[in-house]
Amino acid sequence: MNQHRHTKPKERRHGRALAAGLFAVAVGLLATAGVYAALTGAATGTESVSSGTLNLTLTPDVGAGFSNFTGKMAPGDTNNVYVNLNNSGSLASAAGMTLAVAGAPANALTDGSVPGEGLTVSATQCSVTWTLVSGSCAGTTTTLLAATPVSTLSGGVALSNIPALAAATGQVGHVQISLGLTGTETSVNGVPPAKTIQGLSTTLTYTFTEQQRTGITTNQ
Amino acid sequence: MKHHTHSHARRTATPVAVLLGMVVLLAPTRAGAARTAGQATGTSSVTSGTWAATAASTSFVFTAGSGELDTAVTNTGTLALRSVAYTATASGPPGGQASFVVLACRSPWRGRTCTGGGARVLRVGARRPTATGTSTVVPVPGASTYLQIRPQQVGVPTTVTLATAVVAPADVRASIVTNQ
Repeated sequence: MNQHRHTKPKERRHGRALAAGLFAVAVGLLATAGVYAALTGAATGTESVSSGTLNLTLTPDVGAGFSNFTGKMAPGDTNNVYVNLNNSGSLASAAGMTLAVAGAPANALTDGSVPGEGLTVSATQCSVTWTLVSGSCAGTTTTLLAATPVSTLSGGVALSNIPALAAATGQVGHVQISLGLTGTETSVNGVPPAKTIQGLSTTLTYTFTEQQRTGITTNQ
Repeated sequence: MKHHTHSHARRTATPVAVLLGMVVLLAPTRAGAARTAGQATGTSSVTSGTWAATAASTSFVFTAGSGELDTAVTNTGTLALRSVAYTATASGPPGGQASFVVLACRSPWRGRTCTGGGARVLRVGARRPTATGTSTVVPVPGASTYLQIRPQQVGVPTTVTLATAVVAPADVRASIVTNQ
């Protein structure tokens, strides 16, 4: 019993000591926070910035622009369309532009499966608008792409002389896209060769790609 | 054991989370370094034609006293033609005498008379068993011209075999430039 009576005051003493300790820590923290707050300063500045745009647009120059040819092509035929390539964004493009041409469905017209035969594409720029009736240029012509088999264009090729085409903002290139058919095969007794370019259809997708100008570091 | 597994999982997850955090932090930097590309596309569909000439008959048998034999040659392609090449082969007993001429006519033959305009294509026989010739008497797609194999001399039974060939681009219509 006596032992029990001695234990209670001892616990009370421990509780008081713990409470006093916690109080002291709390006061210390508050005091420190107050001192720290008193030492904090703030400074602000603002700047505005706008991002540019890089837009390459393709519109008819004269005629229908990219469209479907209704006639059946013979070897040596040429189908021309006339388009405007316009850098209509607010950013200049880097020098250089690529053209990729893919056929769907892929067949002997486009996949190179008949050696020496198939469709070819060439591109020529005119310094002024093309004349549709004659397919002629009253200004100066610049070759962007010599006749190239479509079978080699699926991955894209670099066009020549692009800095003068649509590198600067707002600049327009008047471009003639010529589609040709090369064929040297013989039909015997009414039968074409086993591998033939005859009687095939495909839809060609032309993709022009430009890259933005290189990044600029401005110090001001 | 279960608890141990969780601890292991936590130990593994921590570096993964750190790595993910680094990727998230670095990704905007990489995107910022990439340059923007502008693209424009256009489409155009196209169909190629076919070029072919088909003879209704390709084998002609002649004996002594035989008269001329005719056959139609049809443009079975979709393109107009400038010319058709023919190859004729005469086969008969060795040493025999035989000779033939092949003629083309725009309209069906009336005996030995061509009323629509025609021309001689080639001459073939024992002395020249294989001969080739080109005719500019050609049909439009779906139509026919008419060949006549006319014996000049038939001393022994002889078979004349005829083959047509349309070679591109020489025999196909002149090329066309389309602007649209």
